[in-house]
Amino acid sequence: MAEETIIEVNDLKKHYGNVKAVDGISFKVLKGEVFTLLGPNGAGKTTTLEVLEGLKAHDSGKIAMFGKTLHTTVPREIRERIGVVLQENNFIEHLTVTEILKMFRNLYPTPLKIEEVLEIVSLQEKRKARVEKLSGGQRQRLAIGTALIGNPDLIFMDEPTTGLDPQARRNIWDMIEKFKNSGKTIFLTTHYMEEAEVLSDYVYIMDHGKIIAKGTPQKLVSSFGGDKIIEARVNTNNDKIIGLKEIFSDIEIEESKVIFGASDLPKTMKSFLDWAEANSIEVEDLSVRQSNLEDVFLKLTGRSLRD
Amino acid sequence: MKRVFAIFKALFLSNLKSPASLFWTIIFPVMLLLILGSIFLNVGKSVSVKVAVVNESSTFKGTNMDFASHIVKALKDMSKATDDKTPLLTIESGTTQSFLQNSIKELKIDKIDAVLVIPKLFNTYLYARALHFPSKVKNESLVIYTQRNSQSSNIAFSILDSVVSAFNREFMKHSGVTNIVIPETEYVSMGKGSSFSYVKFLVTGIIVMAFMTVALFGVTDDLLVQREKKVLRRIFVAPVDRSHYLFGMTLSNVVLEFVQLALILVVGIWMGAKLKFGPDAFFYLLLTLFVMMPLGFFVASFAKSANSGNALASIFNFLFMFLGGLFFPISGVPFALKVVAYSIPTTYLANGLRDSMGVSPSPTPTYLNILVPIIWAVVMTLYSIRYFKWEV
Ligand SMILES: Nc1ncnc2c1ncn2[C@@H]1O[C@H](COP(=O)(O)OP(=O)(O)O)[C@@H](O)[C@H]1O
Ligand SMILES: [Mg+2]
Repeated sequence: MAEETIIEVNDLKKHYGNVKAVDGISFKVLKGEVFTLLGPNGAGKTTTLEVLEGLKAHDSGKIAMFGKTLHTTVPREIRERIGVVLQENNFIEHLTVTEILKMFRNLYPTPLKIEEVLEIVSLQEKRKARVEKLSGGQRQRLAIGTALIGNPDLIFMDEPTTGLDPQARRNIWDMIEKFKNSGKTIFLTTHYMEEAEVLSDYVYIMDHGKIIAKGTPQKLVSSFGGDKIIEARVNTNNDKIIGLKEIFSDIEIEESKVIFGASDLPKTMKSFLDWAEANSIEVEDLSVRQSNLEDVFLKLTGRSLRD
Repeated sequence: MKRVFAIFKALFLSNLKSPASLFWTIIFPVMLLLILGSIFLNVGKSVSVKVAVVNESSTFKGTNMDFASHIVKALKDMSKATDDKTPLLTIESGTTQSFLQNSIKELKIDKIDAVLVIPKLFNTYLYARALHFPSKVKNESLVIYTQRNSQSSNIAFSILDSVVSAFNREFMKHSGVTNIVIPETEYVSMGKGSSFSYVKFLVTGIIVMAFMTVALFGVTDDLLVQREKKVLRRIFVAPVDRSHYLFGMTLSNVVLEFVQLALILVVGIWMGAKLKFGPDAFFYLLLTLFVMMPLGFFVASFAKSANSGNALASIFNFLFMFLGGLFFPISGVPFALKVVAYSIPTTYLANGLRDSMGVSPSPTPTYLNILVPIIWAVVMTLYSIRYFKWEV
């Protein structure tokens, strides 16, 4: 199967005064994949989406979507093929779930049926509820419903699970899986490494307006994090911990917590415990786990995704 | 078109389901109409009429044959206040020709409501009739001067007429003669302020107010609140253009204004306002509708947030409502306020509408009634095109 490019972006820039919100990023989104921009707050994810959705004009760079080059605006024929879940979703007040879906349905040339969408986003029981009476998770599902009702080829989702409880988050992950399985292309942004890891075919890690790493989740983890991660909590001051850096090149220190990669687990573990004993430092907590995208980000920036 | 209609339907439905919007756009104008209208109706009941009596009668003076003086006395008794109630009529009386001339002049300019003239040989005439003298005696009947089509003149006439009838009844009892005094009626002119009715004045004012309220608050809501809540962003990433939204939103507010108009007219007519509906009345209704809308656009473009927009809209609303003379004539205000009053659109719209609906002749010329509101509309539209921001 030839890979069809849905979005191609080259050297995209968008500045707000001195703030370089998006500072020369390039990427390609292929048909049928879940493409993820992973990055902390303020990385420039929303700004990137706003440009692609036509809400903001970009300063420079090239954007092509569905094979058409975009200039300042996104033409209506393209918007007809796009569904959008914004970072903040509000609806016209006092209307019911069905009424909101109806309005959006009438905006598209070949929409899905309201019943169908209600079922996909599990809002059948809430169809007559006014939007202001919905819970956070239900609102988010309605937002996804409005993105879906036009039967789009491409769906943009800006942090769709931020602020939701774990159960609601999992519901939305399941939905995204289903969209992907039905052949839709998903452009996702998130600051949850787990979300990116579970859902993405391809991840771009973004920080301060720049792409700092990219690849499939597995590749990113293995190339930056090593196989295993040792996390330990020690009761000592920073001066002594600094000494660890001389022994392990691949280490991050956060207050009393140390995190380091271990390609050879027994050997690394032994040298760490030896160091602790030699310096008479008490190890309060010690665990070994698989490395993840969080470690990749920490390694690349020295900061955690959720600051 | 389908998209415009989708937006229209959603916004209109939202309006209909919003208690606040329903109250301010539908219930409030009707309530105001009922309240102000009924205050006036009560005031109207205690208004009394003013009558001048010219007693030229000169025969049988000081005798019990002085019938003229009985009539004058009866009227004077009626003009005395009893039980703290305002008397039905006030009376000026005189005997001279110049008093008569003067009274008729006052009647013409609405200062008094009727003039009763008792002729020179009134007593002689009655005496002759009572003694069954053959009709050699010239008919010397009473004359009542009134204004045609004037409400208060009509009231004055019926009071005078009833006094004369009562006199006739008394006279008949004693003399057996029927139908002695049949007052002649003379009209001095068409009443000028004759057909003026406050209810009509009020209904037309409230129509202008209602249109203004929808434009000011409806449009700011649809633009500023929806922008602030990021509803607009969500709509514009769908295949909707800004013009679709603008048309859908305007349509929603216009339909709301028609609903208001129908309701106000129904209540107004029920309250007794008989309005004229010619092509010019429709013209002014449409003009009001279209020049008020840009006022909302202006507020939405000038204000940074929904809150400040609401405050600005309230200021406009208040100013244009009271200085536009929508509820009360603005004749009594100080000069500085008059200058403002004569520069705002509602003054002219109300004047034009009232003139065209037969409420009262416009104190301002027709070309100004059309031009001034249009200038406002054009300036505000241009400002809005230049400064409105779809994004915050
Ligand atoms: N309208 C704006 N005006 C000025 N600065 C902005 C604006 N929108 C975003 N920014 C800034 O651009 C940067 C990127 O923001 P954003 O794209 O929202 O990041 P993210 O979605 O990754 O959290 C931030 O520093 C933010 O403060
Ligand atoms: Mg964001």
